[in-house]
Amino acid sequence: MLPPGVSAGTFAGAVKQFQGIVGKDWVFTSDEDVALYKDSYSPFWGEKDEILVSAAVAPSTAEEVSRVVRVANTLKIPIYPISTGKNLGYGGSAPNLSGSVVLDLKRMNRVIEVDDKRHFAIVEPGVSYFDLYRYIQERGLKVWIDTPDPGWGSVIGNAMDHGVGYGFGPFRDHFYSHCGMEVVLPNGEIVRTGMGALPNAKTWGEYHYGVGPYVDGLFGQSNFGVVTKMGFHLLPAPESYLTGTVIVPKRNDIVSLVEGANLLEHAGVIGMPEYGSPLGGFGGADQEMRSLMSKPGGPSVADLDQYAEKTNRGFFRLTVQFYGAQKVVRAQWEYAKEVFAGIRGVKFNEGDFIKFPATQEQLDKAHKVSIGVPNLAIFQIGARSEFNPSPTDGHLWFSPIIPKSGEAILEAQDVFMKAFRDMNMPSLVSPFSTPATWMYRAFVFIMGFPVYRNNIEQNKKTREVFKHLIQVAAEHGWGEYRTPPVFQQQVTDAYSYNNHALRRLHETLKDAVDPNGIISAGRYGIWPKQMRGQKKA
Amino acid sequence: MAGEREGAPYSNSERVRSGAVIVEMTSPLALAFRAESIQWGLTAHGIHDDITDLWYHHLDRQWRTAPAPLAGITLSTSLFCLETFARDYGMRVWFRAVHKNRPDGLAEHVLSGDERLVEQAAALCRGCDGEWGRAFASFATALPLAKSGKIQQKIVETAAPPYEEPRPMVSWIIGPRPRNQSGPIS
Repeated sequence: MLPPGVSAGTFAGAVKQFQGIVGKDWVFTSDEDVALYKDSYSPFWGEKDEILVSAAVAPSTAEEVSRVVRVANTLKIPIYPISTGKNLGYGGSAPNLSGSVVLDLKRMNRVIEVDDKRHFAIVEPGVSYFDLYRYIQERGLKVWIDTPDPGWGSVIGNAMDHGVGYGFGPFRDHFYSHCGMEVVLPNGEIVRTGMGALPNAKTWGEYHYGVGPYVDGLFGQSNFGVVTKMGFHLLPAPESYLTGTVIVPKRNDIVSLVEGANLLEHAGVIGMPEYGSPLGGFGGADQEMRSLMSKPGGPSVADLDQYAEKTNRGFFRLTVQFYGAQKVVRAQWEYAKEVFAGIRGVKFNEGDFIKFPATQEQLDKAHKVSIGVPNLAIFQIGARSEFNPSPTDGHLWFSPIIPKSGEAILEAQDVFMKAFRDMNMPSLVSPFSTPATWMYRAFVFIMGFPVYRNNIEQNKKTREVFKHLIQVAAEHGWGEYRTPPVFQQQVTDAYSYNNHALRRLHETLKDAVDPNGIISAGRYGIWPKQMRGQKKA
Repeated sequence: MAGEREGAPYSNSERVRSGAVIVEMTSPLALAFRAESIQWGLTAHGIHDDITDLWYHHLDRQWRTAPAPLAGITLSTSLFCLETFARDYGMRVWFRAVHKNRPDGLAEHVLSGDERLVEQAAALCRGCDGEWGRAFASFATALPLAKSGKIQQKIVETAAPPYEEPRPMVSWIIGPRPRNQSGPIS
């Protein structure tokens, strides 16, 4: 396969030049090798619209990246940078534009610096959460990483895609907690942002802004450059960790529950709150619940409350997590109980307590990502089991951001249940659904849609439902924070205030910084000028 | 090692011994493979689907320093994680066989990968008398080297094994990417 608009001769010349820069072993052109850059969870598996790449190049330094980018810019070869390519559910390592050359940064895997007195790190894009964790553990450094689940992805790549984790406060917003970048621009020039722009910078990983306009945000979820180094703030390793559970009996108690959790979280008392319902989850519903759910128009709030009371399990559950000195976390739990004490019928259960270093038994039992330990256990959920008799081949994440309130949760449940009914599809949402809480100041009402490698019809149907939900969400003022390439145009189209003024600004910047449109064409709806009309349609 | 068998069942300069084997500890098929592999002197690592500890404590270091072929019988989720990691170290899946017990009482083995490995594994499978775990262990001691660009798939039917297999398992071999691999620019 050739990049679009590039002749065989030009492409062969480009490959030869790439080989001269990075070495023959690090330029991949065989079918077997380039197939590895397909999206493992592609919703187009086996269809003509599946995104393919023409080649991959793996440089090992920022200088090599710069030289490769210069060649691409001169010959107008579209390139698509990836860090480690494990953005599963949001596109993996596949570009938006078929035929792009993947710029694979996995060999740039150096941890430049970790400071456990001033609590920051500076890393390259090939450094995974496992790599950074190992670096810290082997040196006995007193800092924690904030890791997503699974933890095999790139620290930089996850931040650049606005990825999130499970830890304390704003640390789990990985772009928010970054500090300073090194970026190769489309013309090959290397720039540093924030304090990194200062030769011999002493505070690259600590002070975000440097002086003058702050440009870092332009490089996230975009196509204005290739990030080759980045700083991150880290959490000082806490002395201990405590969890507690708050259970409320009625559906509408979610409003008070969220208000209380917001108060605690925004004041820095708790880490990530986790909501759930003792009535939902794995295991399936009993006969009474099935009968309630099949009532025309669905069950009433009174029906559901009555059922919850009868089962004596409560309606909603909140798990709170405390990090810090032992006597502090104990006092914080007591304070948290006071905050929720006004909810009639509320129950409290104290959970796990860990004084670090954790024992192996404690580690085995813990939700590891909550205590900064990267792992891959989440893939077990996808395996065939009693609760998952028909495993899928992957998933697509639908990730609308909704307000951080109980009212918004209840509204989102109703709106999305109706949307599934309207589409005559089994609903992924129920009156017990709760949002993910990775964002520090908002909820994400996430749903995972299955994809299959041998069921084109089902994948087509999934894409239709997904597109419908994007539209429904937008009608209610909810937009997705992140989405697979196939939906990026539609998702960004929804951010349309003042006749798409934001899109026009992005395009103006794109044309100025990357006039040949070589980097990540189409990423998050930003197409090069020469492709704009055809790709937007 | 006590009880270790001497020598491999094959002799060929183009063969290589698996560095270790990975075994899903809930699978009778995989446990049979494990027992036989140990007899052949191979180091066996047991997992319960999650490969985190194995990867973090062993494979990451080994693949960084001396990538070597590895054989296993695991769930497909474990292989997906290993395969995805393997790419980052210049490793590839040379061969895989997906095993399934069919309602008609037969076992079905879908073999795919490098054609030399598929051909030889298919012959081994047909003659294994339902004991694929044992046969695959001996195969792992002398693997044909994978060549690039010759991929094929074969389906082999055998008698079902005498035990209940709770979940479909995958046999696989991961090894270094063939150095001579290059593709036409087309």
